[in-house]
Amino acid sequence: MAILGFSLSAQSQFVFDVEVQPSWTPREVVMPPSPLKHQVLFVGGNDMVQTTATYGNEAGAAPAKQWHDFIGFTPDPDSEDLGWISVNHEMVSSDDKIGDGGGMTVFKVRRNPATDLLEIVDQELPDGRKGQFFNVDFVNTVGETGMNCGGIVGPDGRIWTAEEWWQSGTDAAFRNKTHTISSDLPGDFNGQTVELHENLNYMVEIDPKTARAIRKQYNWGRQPLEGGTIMPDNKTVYLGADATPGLFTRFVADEAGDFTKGKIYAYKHDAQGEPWIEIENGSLENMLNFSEIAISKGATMFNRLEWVTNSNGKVYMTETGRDGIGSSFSNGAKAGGVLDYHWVEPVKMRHPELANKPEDAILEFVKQGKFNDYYGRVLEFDPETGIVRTYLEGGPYFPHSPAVNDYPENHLSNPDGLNILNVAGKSFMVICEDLNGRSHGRVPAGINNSTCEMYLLDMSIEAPTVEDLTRVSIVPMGAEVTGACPTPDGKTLLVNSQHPSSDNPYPYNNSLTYAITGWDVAVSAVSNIKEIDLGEGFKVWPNPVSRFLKFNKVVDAAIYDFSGKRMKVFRGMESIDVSDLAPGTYYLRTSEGDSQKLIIQ
Amino acid sequence: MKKFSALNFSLFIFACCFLFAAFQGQQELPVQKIQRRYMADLETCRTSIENLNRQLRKMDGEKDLTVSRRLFREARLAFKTAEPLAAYYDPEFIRNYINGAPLPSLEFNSPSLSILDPSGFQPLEEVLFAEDALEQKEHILQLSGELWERFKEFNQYQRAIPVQDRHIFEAVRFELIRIFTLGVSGFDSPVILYSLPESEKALKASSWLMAQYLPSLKEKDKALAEEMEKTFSAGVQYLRKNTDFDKFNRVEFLTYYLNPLFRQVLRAQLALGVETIYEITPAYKKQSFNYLSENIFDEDFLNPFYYTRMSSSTYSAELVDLGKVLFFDPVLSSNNQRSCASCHNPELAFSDGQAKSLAMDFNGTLDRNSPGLINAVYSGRFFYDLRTEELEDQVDHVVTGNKEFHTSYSSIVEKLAKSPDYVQLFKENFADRGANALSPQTVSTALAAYLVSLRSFNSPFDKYVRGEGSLPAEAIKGANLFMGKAGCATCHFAPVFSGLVPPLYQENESEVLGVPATKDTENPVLDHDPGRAKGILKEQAHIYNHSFKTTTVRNVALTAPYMHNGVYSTLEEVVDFYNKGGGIGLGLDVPNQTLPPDPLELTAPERQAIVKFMESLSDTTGLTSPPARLPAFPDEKGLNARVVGGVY
Repeated sequence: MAILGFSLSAQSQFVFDVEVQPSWTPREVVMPPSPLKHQVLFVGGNDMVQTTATYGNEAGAAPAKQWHDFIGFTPDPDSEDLGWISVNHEMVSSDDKIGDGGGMTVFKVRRNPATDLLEIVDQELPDGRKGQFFNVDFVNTVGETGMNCGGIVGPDGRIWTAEEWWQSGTDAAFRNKTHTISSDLPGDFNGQTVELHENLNYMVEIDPKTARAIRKQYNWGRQPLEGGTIMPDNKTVYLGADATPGLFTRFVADEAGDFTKGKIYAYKHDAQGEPWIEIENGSLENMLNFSEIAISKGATMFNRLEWVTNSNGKVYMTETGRDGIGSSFSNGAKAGGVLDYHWVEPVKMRHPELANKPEDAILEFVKQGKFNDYYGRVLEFDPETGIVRTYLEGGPYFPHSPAVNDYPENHLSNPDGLNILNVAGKSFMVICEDLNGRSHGRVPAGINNSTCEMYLLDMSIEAPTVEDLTRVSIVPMGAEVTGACPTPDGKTLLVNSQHPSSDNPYPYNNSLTYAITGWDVAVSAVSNIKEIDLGEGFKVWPNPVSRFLKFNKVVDAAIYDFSGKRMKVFRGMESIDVSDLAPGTYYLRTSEGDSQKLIIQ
Repeated sequence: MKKFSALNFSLFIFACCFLFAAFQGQQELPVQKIQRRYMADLETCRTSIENLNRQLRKMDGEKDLTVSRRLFREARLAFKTAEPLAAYYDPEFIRNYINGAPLPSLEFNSPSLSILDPSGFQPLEEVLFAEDALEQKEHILQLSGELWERFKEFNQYQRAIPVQDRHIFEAVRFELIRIFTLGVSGFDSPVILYSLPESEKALKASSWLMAQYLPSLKEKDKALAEEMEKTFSAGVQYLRKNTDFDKFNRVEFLTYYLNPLFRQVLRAQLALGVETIYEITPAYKKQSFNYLSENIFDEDFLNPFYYTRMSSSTYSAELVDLGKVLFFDPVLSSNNQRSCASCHNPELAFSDGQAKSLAMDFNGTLDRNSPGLINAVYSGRFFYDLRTEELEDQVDHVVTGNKEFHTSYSSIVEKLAKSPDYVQLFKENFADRGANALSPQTVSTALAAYLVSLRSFNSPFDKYVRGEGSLPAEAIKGANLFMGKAGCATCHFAPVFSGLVPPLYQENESEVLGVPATKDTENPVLDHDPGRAKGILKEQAHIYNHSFKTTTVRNVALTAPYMHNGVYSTLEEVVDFYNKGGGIGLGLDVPNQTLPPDPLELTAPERQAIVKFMESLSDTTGLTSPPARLPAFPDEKGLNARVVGGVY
């Protein structure tokens, strides 16, 4: 191991002159303009949303809330318009006009046939509100909301928002402290008065067309829900809960499209027959204590499930991980919870000394809190077999998995947002990170300000690893992204940027929703760039989609500007990000003396 | 059409290395030698911790305890030798598990409130050096066992780090900051104050790292190479000779050794042509720390834009002027009588002289004391309870607060739009935003720009440590107490002298001091304010009960009264409170007090010297003038009688 360490460093130390006399070589590589077009749709804190009469204030307008997270898309089959976009606000703040807690904003878009870009549609809602952006009324419908994180887009475009509330108390930002439930769900929910915090932590259906909340799904259980998905049958719902232990939950509607009636189950991989245990869901008491009841019945425990999606009959979800599991699983196990075998692969990867241990010994290792889950993973559930397995393990854990010089392109930590982009007959998984920390190689050595990344994964790859990820550096100016949601035509990816604190020009320094259009063209470029021909000599491929230059070998390189001034230095890289270089002519030089003219268009 | 396999890849690299080494005539490159030494240093430290563990397991009686304590010190010295690179390559690991403060903390980005017990050297030091150490063997073994496990893990993760020249120069400069702010201040050896021997090791290790570059540096710039070599050696000597923690002259050590080294190491990096961080990360990624600054007390040592949403390219003198007009314009408040300056008077370094500021409509007071604003930008979070993340958001709370401006951004924008002067100013400053030139965003951006402009690092103390002026001996004595015996600088970190944590200066700390509600020392009562425990939802934990942001000590001579509730009217009273051991020292029950409860036992002249030092941190030059006039409202004649800075 030590030998590898030396050798890696040895090739890296070549001092590139601070200034050179540019000697243009005939070799030239052109980085064409990106086929992707960016456009800002909605700026939090700046764009005004139309509000309903709230807390005694008249209907009017107010600056939208911030902290954009999940995005839902609802197609409009009845007009030329594309459809409605719903945006979550993952915050807790009091607001006289919008409502306390978090909330959602909805708006409608159409595609301009000439430019392919999106345009916001002016609307008049049935309640008389007129404008472009509308605040979803939670206050007068379901009794406030908070920390709206993930969500669900149903097969027919119906939208649910997940209240990732996680405290047993109510924040001072809320003015109502109790809530009397008004609900059309069967069971004893209607008319019961609960503490306000007991009215948070649900999946809530909203109607993006009228900008109103429809109902809280008390019948799906109160959990720190983070994400969910509805299968194409429009009956089966899968939900993820962000906790340790976190549960994987399934709701099956009696009739397609009617989610008020049906049964709720918690996943138990070792149950007799079907791997699901039913929790009676007509009782508020049961639904308030969903997690405790499910654990006591032996439910399978996960380590912070985040977003859930489905593709080709299978369910995918992010298990984001947690640095210290501590006693969370052992306490859960004492209460009845169990661990399943998806842990075996990640544990063996990071702990080769356990490779020959029986699988149950590995589960015991995890249960005792000995596995520090720094990176997390994407899980796959196959309804046919009832088994959850590790689909893509996060990492790398440098001493074992991929070569350190591939950093940061081949790297995934604490996956959170998850979606599927279907384009050109291919399915791509879109994965967004939400880092739990910077230790253990989650950011490159010697970098102090790294942000979360977004990756694409070609789902046709068998047994994918982090080496198969394509980092999408399309994000304007390094902002962190959440909520990547494709439009049904596959042309546009709608993306939210949250917590922007980078040195960006307006409006990229706000929470905002933007559209990246042109994926139908770009995806072939993304796919092709992964295929590298190991030819003779030094070769450079531009990837205009991600603004990356890819090499056919690991190099140390410097980029000089037209006047010969050193602009950038890269050490031990197989690809470099040039997204922050202004269009122009540059000069690329490697430590081995190769040089290349680089034209950025 | 085949990708590299990991194996092929390493073979390939190995081959390259071999060839390269052959070219160099088997001469090891600095990075190779450094990597080898780093691995060896980590191994030494691991062995020392292992020896300590072994000894602790069999510890039984005073004699064993003495040996254990000696082995603890040895392990600390071994750690300090590895620290420059270890703390550079994985600062978070070192903070979380090896050398973090002995205080409970909250798990980052967790799905529920999760309080982490402290681990690493410092909590171990607390129990191992406690009087009843022998009775706490179980706790000691748990902490030392954890430290050993974690250190083994750390070694494993460090093996594959690709050491680069740039890393070494940056790591050494960070270590110089660390030695000054966290080392000789006593921060990371809180009980036994083994800080000076530890700092000697850390400086020696830094010196060794730089020595690997001396041969090539001598070829490029002989004078610089010799100067740096000499300063390192003299600095190590200084630490070796001056070993009394209480008497150690930190100001001298900073001025004659650390700051010159901080400059020389940077110049060496540039002279050698080693790339800087700015050539590595995209320009849009902000750095909190200015890697090209030459002095820890330079005006541009920190990057103010790291703490704001605004970009440095948005910032301009014109925008600051607009922000200044807004700051002093009472039109922002619902009754057109109050401005930001109402509670932030420039003559008082932008505080207001009140224990708690007067509320809107004379309706009582606000909940907390109005803090000064100079250098307020240097903060990872804002407000005493750390409830907002960006400077721009801070302004929101003032605008909407019922006791403050009691209005909304939309009504402010509506009002401002009636003044052609204002509309013009916004158009000029935000030409790129078209119809959005006057908007809630631009109003808060302009105000934030003005706050960014309120920076000052030109106090007599700053000038003195930069070699630009003199300072009374009493203030120097006070500075040495502040940064040493009195322990002030273990929370008020240099150079901002606030809770902004070095060496990255990205996060703000808050502390539980046990501030009383009144000055009554006979029957003291703990101030009721829960502070950070009622701040942001995700931090509403008991460990933050009565926890408040550690604000800057700069300009504090102008910002009386003091503490979050303004309970103390003079700096002498404040120093007296700390000298007694905070709330616990006053006899109050303060769970989780983070201030050590033992009296500091400072003499009256010592307390006075600390006050003199704080007084030497004042500088408001060029920052206090209000705007000459406020923009006119042709159609709202009543508004034109507005008073600059507000009526009250």
